[in-house]
Amino acid sequence: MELLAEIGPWGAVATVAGIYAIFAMGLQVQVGHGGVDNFGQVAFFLIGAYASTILVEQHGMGLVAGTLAGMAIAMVAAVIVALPTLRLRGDFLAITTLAFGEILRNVAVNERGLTKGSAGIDAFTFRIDIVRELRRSLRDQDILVDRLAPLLILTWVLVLVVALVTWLLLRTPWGRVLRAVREDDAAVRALGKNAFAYRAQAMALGAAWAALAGTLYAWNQVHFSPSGFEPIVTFAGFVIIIAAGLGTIWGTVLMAILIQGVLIEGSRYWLDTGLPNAQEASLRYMVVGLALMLIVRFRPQGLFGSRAEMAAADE
Amino acid sequence: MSAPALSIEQLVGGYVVGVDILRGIDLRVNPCEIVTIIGPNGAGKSTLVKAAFGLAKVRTGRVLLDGDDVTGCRPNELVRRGIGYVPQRQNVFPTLSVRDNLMIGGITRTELIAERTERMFEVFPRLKEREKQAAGTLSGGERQMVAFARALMPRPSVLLLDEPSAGLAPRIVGEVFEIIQRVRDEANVSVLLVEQNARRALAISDRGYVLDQGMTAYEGTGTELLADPKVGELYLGGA
Amino acid sequence: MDELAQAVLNSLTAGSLYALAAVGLTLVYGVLRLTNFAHGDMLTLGAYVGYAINVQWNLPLALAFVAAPVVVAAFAVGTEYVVWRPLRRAGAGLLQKLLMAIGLALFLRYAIQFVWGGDRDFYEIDNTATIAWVRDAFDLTLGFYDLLTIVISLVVLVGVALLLARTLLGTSMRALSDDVDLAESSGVDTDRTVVWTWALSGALVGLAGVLAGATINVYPTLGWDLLLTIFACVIVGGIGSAYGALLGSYVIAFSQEFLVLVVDDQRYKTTIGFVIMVLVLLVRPQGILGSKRAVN
Repeated sequence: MELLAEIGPWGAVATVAGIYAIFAMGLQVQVGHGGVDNFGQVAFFLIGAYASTILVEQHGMGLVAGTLAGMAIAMVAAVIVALPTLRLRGDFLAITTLAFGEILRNVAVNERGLTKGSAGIDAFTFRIDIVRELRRSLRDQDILVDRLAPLLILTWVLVLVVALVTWLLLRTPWGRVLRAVREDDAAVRALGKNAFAYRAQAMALGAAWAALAGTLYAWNQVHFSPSGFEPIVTFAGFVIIIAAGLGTIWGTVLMAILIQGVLIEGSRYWLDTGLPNAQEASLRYMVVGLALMLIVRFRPQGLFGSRAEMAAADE
Repeated sequence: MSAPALSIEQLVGGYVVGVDILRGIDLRVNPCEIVTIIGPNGAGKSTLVKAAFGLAKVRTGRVLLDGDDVTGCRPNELVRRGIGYVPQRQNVFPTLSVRDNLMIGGITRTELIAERTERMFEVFPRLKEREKQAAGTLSGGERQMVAFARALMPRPSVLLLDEPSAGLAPRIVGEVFEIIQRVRDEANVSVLLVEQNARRALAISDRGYVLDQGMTAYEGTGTELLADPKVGELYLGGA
Repeated sequence: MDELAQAVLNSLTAGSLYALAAVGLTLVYGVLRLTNFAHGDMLTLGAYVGYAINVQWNLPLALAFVAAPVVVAAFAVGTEYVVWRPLRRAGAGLLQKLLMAIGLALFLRYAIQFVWGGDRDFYEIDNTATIAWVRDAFDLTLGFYDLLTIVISLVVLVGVALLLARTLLGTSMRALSDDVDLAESSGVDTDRTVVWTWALSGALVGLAGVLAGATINVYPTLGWDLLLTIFACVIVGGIGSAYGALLGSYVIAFSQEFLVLVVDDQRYKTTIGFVIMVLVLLVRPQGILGSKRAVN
């Protein structure tokens, strides 16, 4: 148990990597399995973070109930977004979903009554009430636990649950039809299945995972603001799933660790460029952009995927 | 004997690596000849024309234009060297005016554009009337005229026509064949024609080839092929 | 009444800026069927070229109106050779192209931030200067650089319209938008036309960058923040159509300026643009002037 007494900076990095693993898993369901090129996944991340926080902190809902409510609201929002946009051609879908994310971020900035605007909002119940209590009772038994450790453990338990549930769902008849929908709409329609409904369901499932990730993000940040929900969050998710390979589940988890963890969050601990912090941050994202370009150009199937996946994504 | 305007030697190729639609074709078009390729669906007629024009892959064999090897040249290079090509469908730029369609046709010989445009309007007076109209709003027959005129703009020595009568009303089909003859006579161009409408095509042709399963099955003058009972039975749908 | 008249002036300025950026975006889409998410960051690059000239090297901003289009056009042409042409030759699909554009956008934006830092900067110009006679005669505010935006945009876009309508190059571009394969088969050097399209697109958005830098200010997400609005202009007018982009730009600008009076909250301007775009996509995806062909 000494491991958890002081988890250090890499523990914090691992928490963020886990949050992104869940977030990217949602995108994987939508893009990799549903064939929906959703460029506004950050919108559901935002919904999860804000809905659960507002319900828990301002309306006294329990943490679990608040989290589930956030996921439910995100799923409803996903279906509402899906209704008009899923009929659009690929690049219009991308632009529209991207715009949806930006609209929500604008609303979060502007509707101060609800979100406190750019000043940001607090989600301290988990860190204060739960973690403090937990550490106190453990300390009584002479077990010392870092204050960041509970969320780290919770996050990674949830990563495993989400990955497993996704993996299992995709092996049910529902998952098989979803896969067929992505490969050939017409064939699925011929079987009497409503391809549109399957895509919308994939969108909703992916939104639920993004909302869960959003709630964990809120707990991890404690204080957060709309600036944490820029489109780059979605793009980081895309880098993860493309690097892993479209359709892969465990590859997505591994790539979340490598890209969001080791590269984006962790590079400040292992890479000393001698540059000022701000420039080093810019350099990190230049590398992310370049990596995305190189993968798309030279290995569109990702590290663990097959080339057919990328082709099927274009129908 | 002068070199053929276009000759195809031992051509093997197709669209996808490993699937050869053309399996060793020899063919020539002499200056100012109309040569028709007929054959059943899937025989490789259109593929042959596309391979000659750099739109399908040539695996082995050669395409010679006036004796020069042009195998594997890009289409725009072939236009520059004197081949005109009229694809089967979607062969006009729909939002461009008739005049602009012709202008694009002349892009490899810009010095000729003004003169040739006027000449095309003489050959196709109906296009002159519609000069400023978007080509997409024209009738099927008029569009075919635009397509021919566009291909003729840079004074090609060879014209490749891929099923010019496909999808046209029967009334207009005859008109199209007349135009082909007229174009040959007035522009001194050799024509290689692929047609489903085999009888009518052969009737205006100097010579013809019958393609079957990617190979040349018969060859002869237009009248010979029309008279050949075997060709008639197998490829012209009976007598 | 004054409020409405002022809104008209503001719409003209905003629409002129949008149009400069939107025409290049729509030309590239028309010719290549490519949704260039890096277009906004190319605008930012133009704005920073202006910053380098005007602030870092202390030269007149006028120079930037030439230099920024040249630099951004060169960058755009460079992306054609390094990124887009190889990707097309590899037979890339839609998702690959979209993600490549996103990757390029991220790379460019953070490269700009790496070089110039993340702060907001201003050109060393008096951008509070207003046109006196407009103020005296109508009691309205029209900034000097607003007027410059309107005039430059008008002159340049008339030039672009003439290029498209009258020249061989412009006609080739329209031919490629209609049918790339047919253009190639008709003898058009399609590679060359594509390169010129990138150059034109880059030059226009580079110019828009300097004007945005002068009328707004300069920061690394300047172009990205405008990008969705520019998409809205392009889509509302009809994607692939240059005249559509022009029309769409003023439709979006006027809607933003007037509806914002209704909503009574300036911060929702961008959102209004998105909402109109989404509505147009649902009702008429080919936009006001676009052809069905361009969206299929």
